[in-house]
Amino acid sequence: MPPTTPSTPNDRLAVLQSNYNQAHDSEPSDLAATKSVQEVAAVQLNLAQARALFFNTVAADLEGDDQSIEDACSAAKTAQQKIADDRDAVQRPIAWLNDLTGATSAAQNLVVAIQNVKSG
Amino acid sequence: MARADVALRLSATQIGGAVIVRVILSFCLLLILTACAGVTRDNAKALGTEGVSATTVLHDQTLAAGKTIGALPEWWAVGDTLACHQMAPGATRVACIKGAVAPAIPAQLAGLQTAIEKRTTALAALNAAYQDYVDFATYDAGAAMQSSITDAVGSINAFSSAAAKIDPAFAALPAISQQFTDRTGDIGGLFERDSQERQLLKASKDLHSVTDHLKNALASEAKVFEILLNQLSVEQSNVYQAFVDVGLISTSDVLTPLLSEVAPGIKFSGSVPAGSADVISAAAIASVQARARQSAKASAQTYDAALKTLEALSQAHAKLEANQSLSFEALKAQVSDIKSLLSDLPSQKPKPSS
Repeated sequence: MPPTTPSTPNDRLAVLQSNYNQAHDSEPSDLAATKSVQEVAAVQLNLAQARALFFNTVAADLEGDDQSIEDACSAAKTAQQKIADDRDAVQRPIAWLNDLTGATSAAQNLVVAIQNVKSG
Repeated sequence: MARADVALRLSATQIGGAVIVRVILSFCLLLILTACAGVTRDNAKALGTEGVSATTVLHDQTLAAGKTIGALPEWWAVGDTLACHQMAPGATRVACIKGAVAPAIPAQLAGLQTAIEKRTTALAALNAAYQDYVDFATYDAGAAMQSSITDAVGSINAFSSAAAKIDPAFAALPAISQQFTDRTGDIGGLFERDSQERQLLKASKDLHSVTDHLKNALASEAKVFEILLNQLSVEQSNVYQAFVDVGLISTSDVLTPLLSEVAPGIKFSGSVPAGSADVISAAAIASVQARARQSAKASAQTYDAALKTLEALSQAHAKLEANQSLSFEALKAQVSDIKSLLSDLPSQKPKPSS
């Protein structure tokens, strides 16, 4: 397998931005897919967290050179693709809400991985 | 003894004469030095007038930036609430509406809003200080000058502190302090004019320092703002999409501004051609996105022009303080640029009369 190009700070911010924008764009269909008040709250909380994660990171230093960051970046992209696939499915999988919140958690893990490398 | 007395008296007279000559020379030197260590009233007045003009337009630019960023929470509240429209009536729909109307504001966005508010205050204070500088050069309003410099220094330090919170790289810049104090009443008569010119120099150095600090803090604010601008155009399109999805607006209404640009005076026919709703909707979204991007670009350009304006103002201070000839062409050009850019921003255009 050829070595992958390390992600740049802009790539990492784009992952956070994409997570938020996908949650925002899909909000009407995500809400329509909910079956309980708790699920509604989970969709709205996820959007709020995705929004805060992106806006609170725009000016942050996302530099860092470590495999843990590359792994977290890759995991965040995979998680975003998973919920995107759920939304595109003829019928949403039962676990779609877990995948939705999982994408934002993975984006958060990327930020944590960068912070961990910085703090040594 | 008599010859010795005469010699001593002569010596004393010579010593006394030498002292007087030295005192006179020192006095002349002092006059020359004090004359050099000041700025002329006319030059100070000219720079102060340009400073008033520049800070007025910079204040307008700050208000426009505040409006742009301040719109986001409303967009979120509206968009998130309209997003509930696909839900069936019942408890989940009620819960959706309840949970959407007051979106949380991310800390970074709140910090940016605070920084912009502090910059608005700082520019108002600096604008007043430049007006007082003109007055000080005109009729020795030293007390007002001292008070307005104190306000400008205090408010620029507050802005700088707010900017540091949104951009960690900016945190190292120290606060500035005031050098100017009103001393014109201390010395009268022969020294008054020289004192005034030295005081004008000190006040210029303070205003120069405030201008430089403002420029540095603004660079931090601009960095964060410009990253967000790209996202703002996405958010704007999302709100529009929500209006369309709910059926609140007609897509042809969205295209009306474009029609009036390409064919002034022409109006769309009242009905949507059968089978064309999807392409009209896609065209309307393309129009909204393009206009949002243009607006974002213009907003970013106002920041660039604001930074160049402060740089030109700073350079004018440097020339004034070095007794070089003053030229305000670059400053005037930047001020004109900001005015032009602001007039193109949708949020700054006058609302049509009903």
